[in-house]
Amino acid sequence: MGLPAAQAWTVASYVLKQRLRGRERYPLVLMLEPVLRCNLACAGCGKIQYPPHVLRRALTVEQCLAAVEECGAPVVSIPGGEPLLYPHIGELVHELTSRNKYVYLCTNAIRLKQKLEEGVFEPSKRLSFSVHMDGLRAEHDLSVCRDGVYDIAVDAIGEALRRGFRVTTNTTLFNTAEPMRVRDFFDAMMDLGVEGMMVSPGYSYDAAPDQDSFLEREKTVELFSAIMEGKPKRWRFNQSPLFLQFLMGKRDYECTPWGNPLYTIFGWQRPCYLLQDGYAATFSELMDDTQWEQYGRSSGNPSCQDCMVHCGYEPSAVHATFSSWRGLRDSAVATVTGRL
Amino acid sequence: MSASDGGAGDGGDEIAALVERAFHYRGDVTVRTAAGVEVVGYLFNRNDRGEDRCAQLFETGTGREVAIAYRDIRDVLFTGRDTAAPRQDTGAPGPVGGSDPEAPGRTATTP
Repeated sequence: MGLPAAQAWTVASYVLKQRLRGRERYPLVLMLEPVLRCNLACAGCGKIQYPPHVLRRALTVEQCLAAVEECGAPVVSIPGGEPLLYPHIGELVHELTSRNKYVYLCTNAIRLKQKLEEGVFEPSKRLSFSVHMDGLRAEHDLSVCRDGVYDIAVDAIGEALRRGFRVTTNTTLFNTAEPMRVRDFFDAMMDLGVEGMMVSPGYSYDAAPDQDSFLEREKTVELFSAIMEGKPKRWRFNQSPLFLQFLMGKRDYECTPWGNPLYTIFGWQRPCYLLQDGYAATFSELMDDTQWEQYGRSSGNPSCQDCMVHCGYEPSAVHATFSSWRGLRDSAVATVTGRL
Repeated sequence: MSASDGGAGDGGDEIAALVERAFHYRGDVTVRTAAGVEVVGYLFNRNDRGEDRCAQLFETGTGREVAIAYRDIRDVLFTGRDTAAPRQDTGAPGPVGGSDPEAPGRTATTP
């Protein structure tokens, strides 16, 4: 798998510390959205449909840092919207890495090359550009609803790697995905030299323009099995191997909605990155006052029944890794052998 | 739809239902208060539990964050465009080319 040892150790020691303290619920990755606006309008995205005056809003760097401190998660992911449209993105990333946080800056890469040339970022073992890539050229440009974006992203990835940055990719798959094409895409990303890939099925956002392409649970398992079965060892994934096995139907987990909490211009989103049932003013209010039993597959909540998205289930896989010797062994074996 | 066109009346539960609908609406609303004030903005949150039930809005124009107690709300009108609704002009689903209000020359080649 593609996670650097220092980062894996930071996450592992954090999780063990939480368990030793007896914390039943703890965050693993803070999802921090300083802006909601984006320079794309992808068919499967339900995050950006707001009036213009809302899209113009942005968190201050101070608000972002206060949220990071309050949350305490060792990893901060900055999605959006498009974070490179945030005017203070360089300052924010610098502040986060200097606080020893591991940062994933999720970007469509349209402005990445420009930002690199402007010297907005410095290479760091704690900073990774997580470039949104939904497939090979045809599939990706279709997914982001604009021609030419795949080539721009590939060019920016090359530039970032040349400058010594860590680069990963993040891929959302829908029911239109063809397993062989996805396999070819993973080969292509490895050929580019990215550190690792992240992959997840899409979530059926009510607000997304395309409501016909979301995966149901059985189809998700079918698709990921076809893609991942007998995968080449050279494919590196920047995520838990147990989560990938979950997507292939080899494991069954319950959702951990508090694992990847989201802080955005509206506050702390309840209950998770995907559902919008309201906002808490503070992180402790989110953790203490959310009725967690109403979420997850076993709750019967219809919004959760087909969801297998990484933000709910990757924390479950990490928790499983550190909950038993078997989990630790299975994770280690998959990591070393590359077999899922 | 509003309290005055059949959606709700003076009852607290009806106002709560209207605020709930506004919370899930991806466009601006106009909140009419008992004092006769109209607040136009995006209703991004509501606290519908306990004694201090209130709706929170980002006011259009000023950008101010405003909280209005349920007991002060007389009506909610859905006055802004629903940004999550299918586009009426082309039949294409959702916004085209990006949500960045400052992005120039945005185009899309596929719906």
